Amino acid sequence: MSAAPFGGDWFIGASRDKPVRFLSIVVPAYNENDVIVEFNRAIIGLFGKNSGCLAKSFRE
Amino acid sequence: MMAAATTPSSCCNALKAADPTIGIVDLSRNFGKEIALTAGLDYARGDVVVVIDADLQHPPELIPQFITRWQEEDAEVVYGKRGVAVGREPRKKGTSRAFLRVINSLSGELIPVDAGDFRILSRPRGRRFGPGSRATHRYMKGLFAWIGYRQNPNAL
Repeated sequence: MSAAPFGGDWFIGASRDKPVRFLSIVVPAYNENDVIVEFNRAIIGLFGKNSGCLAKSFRE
Repeated sequence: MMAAATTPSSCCNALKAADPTIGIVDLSRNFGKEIALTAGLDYARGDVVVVIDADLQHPPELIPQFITRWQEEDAEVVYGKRGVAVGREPRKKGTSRAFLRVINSLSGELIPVDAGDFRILSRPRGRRFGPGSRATHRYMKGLFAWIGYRQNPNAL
């Protein structure tokens, strides 16, 4: 386990049986721009921007 | 991160431009939260999927704890259950419990009381909400109107 508790390495290989290589976060939203921005800020604070532990965009 | 938005949003597009890990499912109109969640689950690609509201009523800092429990315990889904201290107003809590009591009496007590939408689940479990689980009995005239978008009449 990585020393960084919320870093990508923390997830990769943390469990041999249930590896979490990518994590998707599904967030329903409707006309909530300020809320979404604040939520995104909180997630980046936890996991880091482009940390690699978040899900890839489905369009890529 | 997957945002299931229900209106075209320059805000969401700006977030995606700044962070390529963000994906947006942009629906044609407001179909409601349940449909937005379903769409998000359809497109989610992670090994596990977190379902969470955007308004931070569910603490995101619990996500790593959810994942740890999901990995260490024999569970495919880990969901948040509201404690006594994290309550809503008593009247709303009462009506919610009454609603669940009725639903559970009809369905065999499947829905846990005091549980919100905040949860993580294996992606294959999320796929259970996919196209195979859609309703099969359809009224197409109604559905054509239901899908939204601009629709113009043309005289015959």
